Amino acid sequence: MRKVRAALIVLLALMSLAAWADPLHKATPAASDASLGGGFVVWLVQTQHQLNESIADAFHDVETGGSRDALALILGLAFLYGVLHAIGPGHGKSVVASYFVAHRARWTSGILMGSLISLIQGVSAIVLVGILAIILQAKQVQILNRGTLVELVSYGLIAIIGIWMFYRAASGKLHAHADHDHYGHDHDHHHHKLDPRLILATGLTPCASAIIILLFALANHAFGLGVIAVAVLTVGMAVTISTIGVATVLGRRALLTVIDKAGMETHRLERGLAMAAAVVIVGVSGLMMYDAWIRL
Amino acid sequence: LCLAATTLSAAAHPHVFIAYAATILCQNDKIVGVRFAWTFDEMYSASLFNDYTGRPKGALTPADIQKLHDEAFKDSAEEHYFAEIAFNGKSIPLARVTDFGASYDGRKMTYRFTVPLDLAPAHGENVLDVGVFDHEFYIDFEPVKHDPVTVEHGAALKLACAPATLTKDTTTFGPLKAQVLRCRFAGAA
Repeated sequence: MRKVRAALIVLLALMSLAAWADPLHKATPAASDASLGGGFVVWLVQTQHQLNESIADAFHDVETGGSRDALALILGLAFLYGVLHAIGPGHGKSVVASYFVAHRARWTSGILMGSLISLIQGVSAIVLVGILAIILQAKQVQILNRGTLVELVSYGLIAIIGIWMFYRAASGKLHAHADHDHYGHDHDHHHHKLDPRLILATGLTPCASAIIILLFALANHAFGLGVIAVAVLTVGMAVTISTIGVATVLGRRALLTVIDKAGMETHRLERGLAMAAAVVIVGVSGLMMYDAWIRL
Repeated sequence: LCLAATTLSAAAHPHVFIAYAATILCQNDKIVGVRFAWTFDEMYSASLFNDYTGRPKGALTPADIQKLHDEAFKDSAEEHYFAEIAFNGKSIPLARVTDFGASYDGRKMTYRFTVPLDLAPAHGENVLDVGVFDHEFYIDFEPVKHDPVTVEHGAALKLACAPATLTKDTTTFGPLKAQVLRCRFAGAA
């Protein structure tokens, strides 16, 4: 019965996700009313709630029966949870999108950056729970609040990097060699290398859902299983974040190609994009800092 | 830029899920309180149980319940216990709660407590809205699926209660649709 329910949830989630992603769907009058955003948030929350309960059920099944099916179910649910959860705020999506708006990059960089950020987020959660819960024996509900403190620090660092990115873009330092490429109409453009500081600062924010799953696993004397579930959750998050990275890389490229074909100067636009993206990074991280601050 | 803006607005992150039920307490022709039952999701329940009993399993003792009250539940007083009660369109400020109790069924933790009220019906139709909402949206409150609202000693007032949808503001996600429990009844002619 539980398995049927979980399978139904998975199916429902995939169908709804497909419907949401379908551009035609947005054009229908029913979906275009002002409550779309609110309705989607409510749907996302309820689906996460159900996944959360199903994962808890599956943990009990593993505990009582140790069945292989329950284990597979946990991993499947954790993956889906990761995909959905990363659609929510944080998780570095805005940073990834802004970064690839600002910089010329290969699409594979989108996957690399999304995966690295997710990986660090998962590791950060495991380290946080490992130190606080296992070594320091801190109260579990307090650990969630400590996570908020790390969030605050992480967004602060991102904001600083954003300000630095703005300075670089505004002073034109990004395009010192791009000019050279344009002379010979050589399209073997220089690709910007990923900024490890930005990836590290973004990934530092531990994923609260990963923390919750780890704590629950710990309460059920199955920390190892929790770590495995979080690893799979991380892969799910990587899918969402990488998708946004790749979409931005391709979107930027398409935009610049159109502008270039029209015979317009792309140099200024690139600089404008870089500045706007830096503003977004600072703005969003500021907003997330405020959000973390009121929860602290 | 648009992409960044939409990813933020299409956001949701409650980490605690609470299903709530309310019992409207009546006495003669007055409403004298609301008794709430909050049932936490299994993951948060496990954390609460571990933190405040120090045991892996079992039932709550009176000492555990006292500890939960003093060290966990009392903090929500700052948020007025997340309860939002409006009578005939006017929101009722909540000062205190009574009769705190807690139970743990091995999977889920339930808190029970009463918000005392003293509401005399006005002439004509009266509307009482009872909702529970966290405007920071760290906690997602939803009415329980079956019988979210019941009435005690309501024979004189003849309350008709059912869930209704309202829009509530959140600090980060803008307005969201939320369910409240709405009771309608006629005042004395």
